[in-house]
Amino acid sequence: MKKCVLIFDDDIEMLAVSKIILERQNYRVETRVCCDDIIKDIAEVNPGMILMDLRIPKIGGEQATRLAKSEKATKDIPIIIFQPIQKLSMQVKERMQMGF
Amino acid sequence: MLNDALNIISTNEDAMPAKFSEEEAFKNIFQLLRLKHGVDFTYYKQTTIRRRILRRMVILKQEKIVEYLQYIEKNNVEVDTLFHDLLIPVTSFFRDPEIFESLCKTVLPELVENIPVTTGTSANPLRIWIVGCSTGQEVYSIAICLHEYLSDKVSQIKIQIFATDISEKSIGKARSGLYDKGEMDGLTDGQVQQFFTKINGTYQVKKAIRDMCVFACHNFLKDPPFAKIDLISCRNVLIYMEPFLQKKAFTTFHYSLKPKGYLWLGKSKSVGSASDYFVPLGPKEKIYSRKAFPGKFINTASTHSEGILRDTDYGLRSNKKRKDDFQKDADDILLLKYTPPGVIVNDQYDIVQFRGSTGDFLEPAPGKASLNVLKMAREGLSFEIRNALQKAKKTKASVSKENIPLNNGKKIVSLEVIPLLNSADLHFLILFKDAAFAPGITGAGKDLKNLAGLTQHENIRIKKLEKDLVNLREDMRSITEDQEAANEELQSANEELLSGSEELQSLNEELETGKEESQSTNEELVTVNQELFDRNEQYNEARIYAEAIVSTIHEPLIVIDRGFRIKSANQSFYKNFSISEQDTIGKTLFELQNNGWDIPGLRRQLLKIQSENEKLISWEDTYTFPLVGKRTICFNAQPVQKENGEGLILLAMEDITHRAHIQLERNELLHRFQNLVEKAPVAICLLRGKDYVIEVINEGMFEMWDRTLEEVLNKPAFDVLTELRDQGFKELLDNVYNTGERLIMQEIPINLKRKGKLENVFVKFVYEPLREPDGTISGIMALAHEITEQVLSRKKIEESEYRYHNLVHTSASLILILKGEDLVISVANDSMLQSLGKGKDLIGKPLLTVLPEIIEQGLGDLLHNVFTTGESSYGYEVPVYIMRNGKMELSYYTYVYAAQRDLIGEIDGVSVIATEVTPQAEFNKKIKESEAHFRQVAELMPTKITNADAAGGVTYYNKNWLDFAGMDFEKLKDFGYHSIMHPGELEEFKKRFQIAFETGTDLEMEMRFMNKDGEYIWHLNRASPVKDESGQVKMWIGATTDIHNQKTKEDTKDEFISIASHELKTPLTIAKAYIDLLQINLQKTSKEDYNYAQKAAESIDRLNGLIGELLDVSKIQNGKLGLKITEFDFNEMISTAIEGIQYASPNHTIHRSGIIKPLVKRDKERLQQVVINLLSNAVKYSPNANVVDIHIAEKNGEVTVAIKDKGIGISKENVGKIFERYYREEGRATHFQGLGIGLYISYEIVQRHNGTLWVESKLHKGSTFYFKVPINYEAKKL
Repeated sequence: MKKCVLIFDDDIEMLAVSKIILERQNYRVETRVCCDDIIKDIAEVNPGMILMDLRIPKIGGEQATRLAKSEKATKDIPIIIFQPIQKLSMQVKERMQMGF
Repeated sequence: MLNDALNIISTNEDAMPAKFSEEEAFKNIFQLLRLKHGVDFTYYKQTTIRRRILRRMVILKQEKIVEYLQYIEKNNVEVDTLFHDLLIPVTSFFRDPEIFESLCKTVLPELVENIPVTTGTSANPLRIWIVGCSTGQEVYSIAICLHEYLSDKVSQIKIQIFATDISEKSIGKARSGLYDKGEMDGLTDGQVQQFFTKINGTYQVKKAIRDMCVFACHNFLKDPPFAKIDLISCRNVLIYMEPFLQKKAFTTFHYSLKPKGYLWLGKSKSVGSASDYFVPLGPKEKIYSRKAFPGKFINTASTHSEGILRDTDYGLRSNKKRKDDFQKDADDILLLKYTPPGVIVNDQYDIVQFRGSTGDFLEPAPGKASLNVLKMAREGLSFEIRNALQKAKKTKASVSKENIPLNNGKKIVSLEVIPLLNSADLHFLILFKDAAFAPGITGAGKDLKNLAGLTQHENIRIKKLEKDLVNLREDMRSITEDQEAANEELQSANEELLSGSEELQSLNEELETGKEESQSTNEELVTVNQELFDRNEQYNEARIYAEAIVSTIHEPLIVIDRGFRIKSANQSFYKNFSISEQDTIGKTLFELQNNGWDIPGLRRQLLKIQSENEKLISWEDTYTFPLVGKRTICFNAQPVQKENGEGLILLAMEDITHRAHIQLERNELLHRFQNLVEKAPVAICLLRGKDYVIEVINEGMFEMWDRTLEEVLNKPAFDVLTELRDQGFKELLDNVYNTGERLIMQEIPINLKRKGKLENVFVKFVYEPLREPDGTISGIMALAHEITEQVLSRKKIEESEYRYHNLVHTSASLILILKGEDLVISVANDSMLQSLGKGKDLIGKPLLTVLPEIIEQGLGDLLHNVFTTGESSYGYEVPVYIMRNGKMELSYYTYVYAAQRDLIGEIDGVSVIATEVTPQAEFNKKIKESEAHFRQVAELMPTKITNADAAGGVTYYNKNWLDFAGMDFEKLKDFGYHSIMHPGELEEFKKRFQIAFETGTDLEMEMRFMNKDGEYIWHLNRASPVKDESGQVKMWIGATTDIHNQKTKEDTKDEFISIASHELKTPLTIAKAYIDLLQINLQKTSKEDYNYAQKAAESIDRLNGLIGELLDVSKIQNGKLGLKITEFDFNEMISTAIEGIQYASPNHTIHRSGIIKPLVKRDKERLQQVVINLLSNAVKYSPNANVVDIHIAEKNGEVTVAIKDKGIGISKENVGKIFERYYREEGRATHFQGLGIGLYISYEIVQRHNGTLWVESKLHKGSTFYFKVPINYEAKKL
């Protein structure tokens, strides 16, 4: 069974090209354009890794990551966050302080 | 040594090989002693003597007597030493106390009893002779004994103790009577105390004892003895003498003693052979009484006998010894039987031995028993014996007498006198021979008888002749007897004379010593006498003086005795108390003038003087005297103790009635003076001496000084007033003191220390020299009056007058003083006259007549009003028309009209003080207009304007401000300004304002202020100082512009760029992704298509870069260009950058040089961005070149990077602009792509690293871009 990458992004184009590239690398790629119930999404697709756009609609990447990290079943799944560089550094710092 | 000595004692003849035999040596020594000291030791006990000599030899370490002899011959001192050694001075006080006791008990009472006690000097003194007294202890012991025994009777008996010794040294000591402590043994403490005086640790015999004794140097064996002695003590001498000498001594003593005299010998001695002379007093005692023995004293000085003679009485000793000697026995028998009988007589003709039967020739004479041969000789023989003896004595040869008829011729004898020349004493042997054996002679006698009968005539004649012969013989015999008796008397007289002479000699010696003593005493006495004489003269002089003083003295003077009887009085006494001399002398003091002198106080005082022997000094008493009335007398009394114990009192009186009166007056005066001084309103003090000791001071003075009385009294003025030392007062005082001139200072400033600090006061003072009666200056009286207040008020008045005058005349103000109701001008200053265009003649004229034009202008009424009501009138820039030079001119005045009041407050005039403000008023008018204009401008300005003074206090907010804040000026000024600032910028603003305020620089800050609706509106707040000519900040002008819209627009724009860039980047990324995918596919199929895809990808990359730049600019704009500081290898960073450029621009070769050794702590990415930017620019702007140099270096903690191209270069005027945002050099832009923001970004990045970026360039030649950053990043300080 192929390893699954779950991508959260509201940009469909971005999802498309990402899906192509990753599938060419022999990954199973699942995409979501919004994030309202990450636990449920994870449960559905059982991803090995999650790519998360920070500005994903509904709850936003931040909140979503927090949720995933708080569930025992999902907390070990690596999550890669997309976001503009200058904001990231600040937010990473904050995250670190939060205990991620 | 000791053995040698013993040898000598044993007199071993073998041990004497020297030229002298031992005996001769001793003899020689004795000879020497005799020559030197006149003492012959030959008959002294030889063992003792020789032991002494040996002792000397041991001390001198000589082994043989001969050596000692040689030594002693050369050494005179040794003779003395030996002599003294031989004398063995062993003695002590009360030696053998028990004998002393018996002496006191038995002998002394008897002796004393025999002395007739008489008053005064006794004719028969008690005489005691102490033979061999040594150093005198025994003498004094006996004297003490006597003294104790006689106790108080001692003065009634004259006692003479003769003490003799042959040693002068001992006698010397005995005479002095000085003994040290060790020698005082044997005396009881009481005796020591009674009879000795302690002098410097030694004890001296008291005079009473010493005076009993006479000491003399005397050899009793040689010198004539003393006579009529009651007691002889010879306790130490005899043991050293051979019996021969002892015997001699006894005879001498026997001679000396009185018939009932006593002899006292030493313990181990007895009279022995001399028992004829003395009989012991008791069985054990050594005191002997004199026997009444008829022996004669013979002066037996052994001056001629040098041979060793044995004891003459050896018969006693030799009896037993000779028993076994038959020859001697035979001799004895022969002697007894066949030698003629005879006797041995001494030179006194006393028989000392009978030999054979002498009964035929001698018979005891009737009367006093006598052994004298002349007395014992039978009749007829005596005459012949005497003749023969005398002849033998003379010729020293035997004398024979034959045919001496005895018993009237019945017996014829012959005799022979043979002098025994070899004996120590002269003795004679008288041998008798019976001439019966010579019949011839007897027959002849018979024949002669028979012949007588032959003739009658002849018979008769013979008988007659015989009778004559018998008579002659009888006569001769009686004459001879007479002569003998006379001789005997002469002899005894001579003896007595000798004794007396000896005594005299002893006394003489004593006297000689005494004389010497008295001579020295005399000398002392002479000196003392001289002194006394001098004293006496002085005394006389003093007495004369005293007498002169007493008689001339003004004060009465009397001398009274113990009974207050007047012994003497001087003239003054009589005069003063009107009393005559005869009424005074001999009377007691108190009974004078009918007991008028019984002054109780005086009596008490005098009794006190008598009892306590003290002086009375200046005792004063007032008493009413009988004749002279009430007097105050000052008594001085001195007890005078006379030598005879009479106590006198010298009483001096001084009539001080007058003086007391004066004193009283003076006291009162003084008191008044003191009172005066104390109460004086001026400060007074008396300064005594050169030190200016404050002697008298009143309250005024020490209060002026702010000192207490205790602090200043009796202290030198300048010790107390230390602050005055340097103010010149000492010099002033010195001047007064030295010149005696009074000094008056009307007003002088002084710095006085009051309440701990210096105070400037003014004083008026007088220094008056104080003169002694003789005119010398002894002090200064200082009178002072503090006039500080007066001076100060006067000064104030003067000052205010001066000021007033000055004010009036120099004032730019116009001043006019008008007097009275008519307002007559009394004072008009120059300014006024000038302003009015009038001269000085104005003064003295009523104002309204001089300036009639002002009346219609209402000023006259105004002035009158002020005059009547007293209320002042003020005018401000009042226009007044004044007639000047015939023209009415308008002037503006600001003035005050005030009522002038006299001293009692009545208005007596009006003062006019005015300022002509014509130009000022006009100027003010213009300013006002201008101000109104600007105010209007400011009010209307959309910008908010503030004014603040130099200290920052706001003086003005324009309308816009007030409207914005919705507050009035006061409210905004007090607290509004800061309160409407955004809290986020308030602190920053304050900080910056502080800096601006301190440095006087502009302030510019974008900040938010809250409007009246509570919204914060962005403003650009500017404050700028307005400075005066000297550069001092005069005021601040603030301009606050509403930039809210701009600000929000800018934010929107930045936000937009940021979002846009992001949004742009997404599709680009997607596009890039697809192209990458496309390229992967095309790589396999079409080379050409692949190249197109490649180009598309590059374009996308460039587009990405551009968007990145835009984002950076946006960040810089927003101040959001953050730095990520890490430590990195600068060289590697450069390598990566070069690699990238080299890859993109393969046409250019990039030369690299230099190395940075330490790690650099910087933002690696950003610095790389700069390097890439500069390198790409270098490549980009050098299209015609193919080399770009890059050099890196490290120096002083800074990294320098230089990038050099050989490109188009930059024109000079553009060099400063190239780092601006969006700047693209003219010309460049046409040829080269880019936004023109790369250098701007690089510049900003380098700036952020605290570094610098600069360029050196020549147009068409190429450029070199440099940047320099510190190796270690340090956060930029604010």
